[in-house]
Amino acid sequence: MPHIDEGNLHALLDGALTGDAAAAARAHLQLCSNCRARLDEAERIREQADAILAGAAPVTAAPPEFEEILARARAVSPSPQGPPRAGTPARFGAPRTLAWAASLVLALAGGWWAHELTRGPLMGTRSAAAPTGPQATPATQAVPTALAPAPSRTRLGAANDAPHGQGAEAAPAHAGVSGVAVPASIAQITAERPASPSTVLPGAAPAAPSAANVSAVPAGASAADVVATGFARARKEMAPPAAGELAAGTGRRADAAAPLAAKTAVAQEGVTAQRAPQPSAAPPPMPSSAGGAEPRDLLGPITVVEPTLLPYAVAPEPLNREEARRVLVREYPPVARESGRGGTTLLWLLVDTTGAVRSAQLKTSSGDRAIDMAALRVARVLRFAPALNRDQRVPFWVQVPVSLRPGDVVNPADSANAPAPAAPTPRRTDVSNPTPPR
Amino acid sequence: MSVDWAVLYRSCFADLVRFLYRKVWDAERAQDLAQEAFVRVLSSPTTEPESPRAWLFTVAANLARDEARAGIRRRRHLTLLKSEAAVHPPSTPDPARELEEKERREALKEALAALGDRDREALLLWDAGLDYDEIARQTGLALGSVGTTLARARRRLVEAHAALEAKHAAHR
Repeated sequence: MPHIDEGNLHALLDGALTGDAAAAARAHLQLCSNCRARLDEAERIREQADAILAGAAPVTAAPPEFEEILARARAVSPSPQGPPRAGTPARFGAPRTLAWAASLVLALAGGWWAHELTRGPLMGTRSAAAPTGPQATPATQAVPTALAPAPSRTRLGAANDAPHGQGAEAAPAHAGVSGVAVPASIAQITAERPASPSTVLPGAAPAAPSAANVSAVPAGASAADVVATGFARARKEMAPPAAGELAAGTGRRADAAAPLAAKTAVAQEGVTAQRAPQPSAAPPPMPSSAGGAEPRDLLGPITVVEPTLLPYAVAPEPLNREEARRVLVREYPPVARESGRGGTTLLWLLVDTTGAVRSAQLKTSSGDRAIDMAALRVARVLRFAPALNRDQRVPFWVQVPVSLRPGDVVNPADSANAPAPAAPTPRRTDVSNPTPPR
Repeated sequence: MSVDWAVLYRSCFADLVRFLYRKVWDAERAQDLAQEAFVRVLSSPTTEPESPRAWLFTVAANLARDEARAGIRRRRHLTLLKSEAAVHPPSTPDPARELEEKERREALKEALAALGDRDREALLLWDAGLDYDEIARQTGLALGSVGTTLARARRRLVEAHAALEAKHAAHR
């Protein structure tokens, strides 16, 4: 049997080699030490390339609500250009001359389009943004977000009706915890702020787009797991009385102005009982998750907190849970999967003020290096809503258990005959008091 | 409008921004373009594309390409707008970290520039979370050669990056 070419080695590592080809490659790998060495080399290259790419991540404001984008899309009148140029994907293989001609057309169209845009919302595409400035600035985001019809938020009426500013202080912190969507997860985290004086932030609302749709399942189905530790010093006196387990933050950057407390709530009944508004506020399940083929959530945790005007509501929450899951499954080393190896890796992630993962550390190994590496790679893609304390964005550490089991497949919801997702195994993890690693 | 788009929006917006960022090297522009890509896709008459994600990235890639050609005047204008809209002072920067980030960014930028167009595109798409099938669909590569392309792209990226670092070290 011929040796495995480099492309197939990478495809194997990327989980893209399937069926007979994959089986043949693995059979060959068992016999051929040469190819095994090349596989190791390919893996090294792959990891290095990933690391280099991860080195420069854009720092951006949180995206606007989907509803806002949708509103913009609906405002677009049939454009004079016809449908979007989506139908003209970049085909590198196209003949040069054609490509050249196409690029001319595109350049002209693009120039025209850009020109139109600079002149104002003529096409209506940017009507939301144009009067005030670029979308990315929090100030301009706040406006459309607040005005946009956001059906998912109606239940927040109470919180939103609270007077802004000082009046909001009176509102119990828990009022912010509406719209709790607990993924079909093995675990749940809660990062809760102390009932510190709440100030209404213009930037707070858009900072955490409603991630509540990740998947909505009754909250009781979860167990707690992730601990968010404030970077700033947690102050006991500021913690809510019902805070339960308080994970003290460590004060690496303990400016007194930013006492981000972090708190872990053990899930199960504990949490739900503790947070009275939660059950009633559970959002209706999103249609997408109604199929019942809910993929097992491989990323431990997390209570999704619908953004409200209460700053504490902007708790650390992965914005791209779905994507993280995909990456995880994709990174699941095929060799480990097929030999039935799985495991849970405990990661500590430092999330910076932009919500990007600044540092990822292996806290507890799953016992399998390949699985640990897969788990660590997910840190590359995770994006969180930045945690806010008053108007300050604060970095924080989160502890995230990541588990992979052989049954985890890329997208069980997509194929009807995919194996049913493993039943969530409620786990109770001790709520330790993590000190950010030095 | 199906809810799938909402899910897609939330799950891959950040990836789209990252993908675009590596093309325009301006975080705010990247986010703008990502929003624009969604707006276009959502406002398009095609409601059920075969592969929504690949389509989205295709639209985004086209936007970025247009951007590269028509960008200068527009950027100038946006800068103006930006300064007008600067209601919130930027968060206090950490000079050391910013410098470090800038260096990393420049290194990646240069290393990526050393790749062939097709290799770079495939790698960026992979990095943005697309699978082989979607990459093939978007780049026009045969499914069977995505692995080879990625392998070459990764190797060149690592080599170019190492060469840059060596050069950098020599300068110090």
